[in-house]
Amino acid sequence: MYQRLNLYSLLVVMLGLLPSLLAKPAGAQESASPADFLPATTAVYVAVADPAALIDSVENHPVIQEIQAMPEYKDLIASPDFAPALIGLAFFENQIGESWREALATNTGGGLYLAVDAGTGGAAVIGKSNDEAKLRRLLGTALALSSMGPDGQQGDKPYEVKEYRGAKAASFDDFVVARYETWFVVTNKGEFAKLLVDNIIDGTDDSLASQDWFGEAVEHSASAENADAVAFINLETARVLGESEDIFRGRTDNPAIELMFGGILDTLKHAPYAVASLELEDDLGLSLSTPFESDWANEHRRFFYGSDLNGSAPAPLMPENAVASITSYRDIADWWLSKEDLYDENVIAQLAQADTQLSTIFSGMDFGQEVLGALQPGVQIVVAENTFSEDYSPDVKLPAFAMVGKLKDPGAIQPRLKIAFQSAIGVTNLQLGMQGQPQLAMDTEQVGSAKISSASYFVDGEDAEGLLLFNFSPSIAFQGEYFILSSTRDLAVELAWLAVNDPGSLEEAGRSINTSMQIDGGTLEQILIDNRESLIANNMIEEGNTRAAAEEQIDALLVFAAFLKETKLDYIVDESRMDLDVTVRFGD
Amino acid sequence: MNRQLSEIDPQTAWQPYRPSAENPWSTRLAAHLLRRAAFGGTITEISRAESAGPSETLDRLFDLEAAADFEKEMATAGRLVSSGADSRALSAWWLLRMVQTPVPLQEKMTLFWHGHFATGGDKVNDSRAMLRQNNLLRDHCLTEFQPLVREISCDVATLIYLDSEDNRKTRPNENYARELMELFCLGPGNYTEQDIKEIARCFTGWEVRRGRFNFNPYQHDEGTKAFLGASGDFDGNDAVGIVLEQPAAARFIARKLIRFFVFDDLEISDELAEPVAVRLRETSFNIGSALRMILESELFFSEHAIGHKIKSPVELAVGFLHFFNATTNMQQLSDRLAGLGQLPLYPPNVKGWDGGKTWINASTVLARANLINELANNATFADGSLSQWASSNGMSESDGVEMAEEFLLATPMPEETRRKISGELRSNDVQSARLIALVGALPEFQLN
Amino acid sequence: MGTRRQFLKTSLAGSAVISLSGAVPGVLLSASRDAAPDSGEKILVVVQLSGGNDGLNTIVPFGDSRYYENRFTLAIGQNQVLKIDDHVGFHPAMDGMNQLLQDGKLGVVQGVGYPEPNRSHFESMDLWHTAHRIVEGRYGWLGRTLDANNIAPDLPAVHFGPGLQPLALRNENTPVPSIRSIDNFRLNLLRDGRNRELLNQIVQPPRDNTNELLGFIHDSANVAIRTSERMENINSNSQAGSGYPPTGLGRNLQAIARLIGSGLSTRIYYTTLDGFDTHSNQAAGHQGLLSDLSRSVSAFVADLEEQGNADRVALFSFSEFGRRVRENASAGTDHGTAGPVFVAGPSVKAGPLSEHPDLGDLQDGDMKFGVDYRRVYAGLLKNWLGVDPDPILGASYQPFELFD
Repeated sequence: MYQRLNLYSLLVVMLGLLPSLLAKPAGAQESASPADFLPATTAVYVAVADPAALIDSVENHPVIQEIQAMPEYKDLIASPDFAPALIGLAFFENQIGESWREALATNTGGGLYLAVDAGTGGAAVIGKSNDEAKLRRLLGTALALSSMGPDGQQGDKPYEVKEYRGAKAASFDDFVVARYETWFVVTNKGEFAKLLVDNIIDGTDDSLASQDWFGEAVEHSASAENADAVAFINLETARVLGESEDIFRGRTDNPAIELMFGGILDTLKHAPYAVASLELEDDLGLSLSTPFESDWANEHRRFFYGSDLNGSAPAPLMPENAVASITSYRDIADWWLSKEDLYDENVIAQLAQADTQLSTIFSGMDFGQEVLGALQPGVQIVVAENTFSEDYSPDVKLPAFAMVGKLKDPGAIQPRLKIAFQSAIGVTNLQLGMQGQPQLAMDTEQVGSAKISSASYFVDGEDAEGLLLFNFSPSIAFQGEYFILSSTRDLAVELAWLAVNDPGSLEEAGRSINTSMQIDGGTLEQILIDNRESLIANNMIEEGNTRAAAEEQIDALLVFAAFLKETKLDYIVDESRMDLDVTVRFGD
Repeated sequence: MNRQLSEIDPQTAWQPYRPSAENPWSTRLAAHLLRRAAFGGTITEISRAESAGPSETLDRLFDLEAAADFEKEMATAGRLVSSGADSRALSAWWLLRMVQTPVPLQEKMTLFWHGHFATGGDKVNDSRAMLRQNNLLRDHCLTEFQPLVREISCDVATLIYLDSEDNRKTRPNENYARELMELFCLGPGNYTEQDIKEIARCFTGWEVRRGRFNFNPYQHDEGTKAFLGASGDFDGNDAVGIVLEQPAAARFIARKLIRFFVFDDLEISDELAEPVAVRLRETSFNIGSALRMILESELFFSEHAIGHKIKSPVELAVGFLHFFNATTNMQQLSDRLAGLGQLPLYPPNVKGWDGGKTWINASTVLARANLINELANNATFADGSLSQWASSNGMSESDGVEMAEEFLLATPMPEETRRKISGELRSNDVQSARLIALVGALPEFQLN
Repeated sequence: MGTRRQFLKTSLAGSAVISLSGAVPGVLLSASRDAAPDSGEKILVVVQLSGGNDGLNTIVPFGDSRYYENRFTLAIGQNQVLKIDDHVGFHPAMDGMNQLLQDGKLGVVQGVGYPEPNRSHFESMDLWHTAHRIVEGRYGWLGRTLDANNIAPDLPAVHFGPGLQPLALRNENTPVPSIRSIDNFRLNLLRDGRNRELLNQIVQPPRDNTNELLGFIHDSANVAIRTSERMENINSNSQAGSGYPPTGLGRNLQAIARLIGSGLSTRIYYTTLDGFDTHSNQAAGHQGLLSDLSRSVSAFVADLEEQGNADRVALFSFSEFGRRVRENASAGTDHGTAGPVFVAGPSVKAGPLSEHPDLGDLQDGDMKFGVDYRRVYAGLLKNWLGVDPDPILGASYQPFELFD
C-alpha cells in the first residue's frame, strides 16, 4: 500500500500539470510571458492562461456532474481499489498544507505552458506561480515523496540538487525540475533549463516572441481569444524535422485519404505555422487553423478546392434518422481523370484496372469521362438508421448508407445509369447464385416525382437464417437533377422526398464551406441499442463474462454513449486561411 | 514395474464401485470423477461430491435438464457470433460454454463427439453450419448412437469437410462411406474396399445444395447393393443400420469411450471392451447407459485409472479457469489453445485429436506452462484476486500446498518438490500467481 | 538402453549445475554444452508432404499420351513442362528444384511405394512412418534410429512446425522437441531469474516410476527447459539466411539452417508441408504447394552452401501416396499409390534415379510401384546417417543408392 501511495502522489502532481498540453498566452500579465524568454528555435508553444479555470470548467461540466451523480461512479470512489489514490491525495494535501485545487490555482496563477525546442531537443512544462513561498513548498513536498521508500521512510534521494544563477534545481536521471523565483520548469534537458534561466535573467533579442512567424500566428489566432488553451506550431521546423514523413510531401498514395484530406496535405507542405485552440464551456470546441495562399494548392487538386478555392459543399439532405452526414465539394470525375498526376505507378495500375471493369458494367461508357463526368461537383454521403420488416429482423442491424449527387444533364444520363444498375445487380446475382446465396429481385417504381429502381433479396423460409445483409436492398433514385445511390430502398425514397421538400442549407458568413460533417449522437446511441444483443454476445466471449455481467457492462457503455449528442466538423478554405473547426455538443 | 493389462479382470472391472476399506470414497476419488466427467470441480464442488457419495454425484452429472436458462442464453450468443465464414468466434463461444456450463458432462461429451466426428471450420468455411453440427452433437450427446450417425450422415458441415457434397450414381463418392466405417463406426480392418464401394452407392443422391442437405432422387442408385453380408436396395439410412449391426461396432464405440474417460496408457483388449459393448448392444446403443457403466465402475475408481490420463489442452485451460472461479478473453484463449494443439472446431484432420501422449512434447510442455503462467497473472478472478480466492476457500500459508495438491492434482508431487513450493508460499497476489504458474509447469499438473 | 537413459540423466544434471551458477556468459554456456560438436556429422532433414502429393503432376511424364488422356483438364502441356529428359519433366512451378537437378544437387526416385497399397491417409502415413512396423509398437523409423544408435545424445532430433509430432520420430527413450519457431521456443516463466532455479528444483526430482505417463511428461519437461535455454542462446548468437519464400515451409527450413549454422549437434530435423489432398479444383492449389516446396528447398540448399555446411546435409522429401491416374469429376484427383521422392544436397546422385511407372500397366487404375520406400530408407540410414538399417527396418532391404 505504501508503495502505491508514493506512486499516486506523483500521479496527482502529473495530473495537475496535464492541462498544460493545451494552453494560451498569459493575457495582460505584468511579468513576461514565456514567449519572451523561450528561444527562437521553439517549434511548439502551448499556453493555458488559467489552468484552474479550465479544471473548473471540466468539473462543472454537466456531463461530469451527471457522471459523478451516477451510482456506479459513487461505488467506484468508495471501492477499495480507489482508496489508495484518495489516501495518497489526502497525504499530499496534508504535506503542502492546502487542497490540490488551491495549490494549482496559486502555483499556475501566471499560466501554464508547454514548449518544445528544436535547438536543444528539449521539451518543457513551464509554470508561473503567484506565491513563491507556496511554490517552494509544493516542489519540496513532491521531491520528498519521490525519495520515500515503500515503507514510508525517507530513503536515498533519487535526484541531485543543483543551483544555477539563483535557480534551484533537482535533476533526476533524465529530468530536471527547476525553480527561479515564481517560475518553475520541468524538462528533459538540463541545457534547456539553463538557457531559460539565462534568458529570464539577461533577456534576449532572439526570443520566440520576436519571431515573425510567431507574431503572425498570434495575430492569426485573434479569433480564438476566448479559448482556454492555444497551441502554436512552427510548421517550417516541423517539416525539417519530419523530412522523411510522407505527410509533409503534399501527396499520398492512398486514394481515400486524397479524396478526404488532399487539401490539408497542401497546407502541411507550404504553411509557415499552425494554430490550434480548445474551448470548453457546455460544448467542446477544437479548431486548427493555418494561413493559406491560392498558389499553394496543387494544380491537380482542382477537384478538391474548385477553381479559385471557392468549391462549396452541397447542402446536405438530412433524413430524420440520420446518424452521420458528410457533404463535400469534390469533382470526382476531375479527380478520377487526374489520377496519373496524383499517384505512383502501382496505384495508377490498380485504378486503371478498376476503370476497365467499371466501364464494362457501364455498358461501354468511359467510367471517368462519361459516368463520373455526368455528375456535378459536390457529393454527400449519408448514414441513417435502418428500417426492418416486421417478419424478420437480422441479428446485426447495420445502418443504411447512401450517396447523393446531382446530374449535369439528367434526361440524357438517367436511362444509362439505370441500365448500369441493372447490369450490376445481374452480375451480383450470378455470383450469389454460384455461392448458393439468395438472389436479388429488381423493382422499378415512381414515388411522387421520383423514379426509383431497387433490388431486394428474394428469400423463402429458413434460407433467411443467418443472413447478415438481409436488410440490404440496393437502390438508385432520380429526383430532378438529384441522383441517389442507396443501400436500402427506404433511405432512397426518403432522400428523394427531401430533395424536393427540404433540401437543407449550409452557410458560414460569407465563406464557402468545402467540407462539413455531422454525427448525431442520439441516433448513434439508438443503433448501439438496436445491436445490444450482439454487443452482449461479443462481450461474453471477449471478456469471458456471464450473460448477466456482459449486460451490465454493455448497459454502462450505453449510458456513456448517451452523453454525446452531436459532433460537427467544418473545413473552410479561402485565399487567406484554412480552418478546421470541430464542435462536440453534450447533453441536450 | 509398469502396470499390466493382465492385472485387470474384465469380468470384475466393470462391476459398480463400492466404497471399501481399501478404496474408500474420498476427496481424491470425488476430484477424480469431476476431472473426468466434468472439467474438474471447484473446492466447493469436490467437497459437495465427497459428502454426497458417488451415486448421487453421478445422478447430478447425468441430469442435463438443469440448464434451461443457460441453454437459451448460449443459443442466442452462439447465433450472434456465427454469421460469417470464419468459426473462430464460435470456438471462443464454445470455450465460454465449457467454463460456465452448469451441466459439464454435456460439454465433455460434445467435445468427445466432436473429436469422433471431427470436422474443421477452416474447410467448412461456414460458421452457421459448424454451429448446427455442434448443437446436433450436444443434443445427442448421451442418447442412442444410431440416430446420431444418421443425422451426421446428412449434416452439412460433415459432408463439406469430407468432400462429400456431391454423390452421383454414375460416380459414387467413396469418401463418406470410407469414413463412416473407418472413423465413425467400425475402425480399420472390419470391412473391405468392396464394402466401401457398395456403401458409397447407398449414399448416392445425398448432396449439399446452397448450404443445405438435399436428397436428389435422380442421382440415387436404386440397384441392389451387397456389403457386410447384407444385400438389397439400401439407402444411406439402411447402410448406417447395417454397419452398426456389425459386432465390431459396439466394441469400437466402447473402446473409444473407455479411452476418453478411463486411461491413456493401457491397451484396451477385446475382452476388456466387451462388457461395455454388450451394454451398448442391449440398450440399442444408448451412450448414456454405457457411459454411466464406465463412470461408476471399479476400474474407473482404481489406481489403473486415477492419474492415468493426460489433460487435453482444453481440459487444462477450462479446468484451470473453473477451479479458480476465473474467466478470461475466450478469443485470446482459443488462439493460445491452437498453439497447444487443440483448438475446438479446428481438429488437425478427420481423425480428430489422438490425445494421450501426443498432447505432450517439449514444445507443448512450454506452451502449457506459458498458458498457465498467463492465466495465473491475467485472468479475471470472481473473488477479486488469487489471494482472495484462497482465503474465501479457507486456505492458509500453512496448508495451502496440501489443499491445492489434494483438490487440483491427480497424483501427488515428490516430497522435495512439495517442500520447495511450501517454502515459497506467501499470501500475496504476486507470489500466489507465481507459484500457481510454477505448479502449472509441473508434470503432475498435466495429468487428469 | 540403460546407458542411454543414464547419459540423458547425467547431462541434465550438468545443465542444472550450470543454470544454478547464474550469470555464465552465453558463449561459455554453449561451449560447455556442446563439449564435442562434431562438425563432420551428417544431417538428415525430412520434409513430409501431407495429404498425398500428385506425383504425376509433379514429375510429369509428358512423353506419354496416356497421361494426357487421363488428365483431361489437369494435364501440364508439353511446352510448359521443365524437361529433365525426353520423357519426364518438372511442373512449371518447380523452377528452383529443376535448377538444383541441373546443378547436380537433386535426385528423384520415381515410382516409390509398397505392396498392397493403402488409400487411407492415416494408415498409409503410419506405414511410411513406422516402415510397415505398426503392429510392433508405436515407434517410428527415425525414432528407432534414435533408440538404437547413440547419435548426438544431447539433442538428437528436432521437429519443426506447429502440428503434432510425426509418428516417424516417436521412440522409446528420447524426447524430441517440436519447435514452432526459434523465437517462440521460450518458457516465459524463466524471464524471472528466480524462477529458473526454483523451476529446476521442483521439476527435476525423480517421479514415481509406476506411472509411465508421468515419467514421459517428466522427461519432456526437462528437455523443454533445457532446449528453451539453448534456443535463447542461438537467438542471440546467430543470424537467419535469406532468399526463402515467406511461407511456413520457407520459415521452417530457414530456422533449421540457422540451427545447423549455429553448430547444434542435432542430426535429424523434420518438418511438414500440408495441403496435398487435392480432391477438387487441384490446379491452382497444387501449383502453389509445388512452388513453395521448390523455392524453399532451393533457398535451403543455397543457404547451407553459403554457411559451408551443405556437404553434410541431405534433404529428403516424401508423401504418403500419389494420386489416381485418372482425374475425377471435380477437376481434382483421388487417393492413389506410388509417387516420386526427392533427395537434395551437393552430395546426392543427381537426376532421375529410377524409371517412371508405366501408365500402360495399371492396377485398379493406379500406378504400380517400382521402388519399395524401405529401400530408400535403407539408403539414407546406411549411406548417409551411417547406421545399420536392418534392425530399424526389421528386415534387410537393399539400400537404394542415393549418394555419390
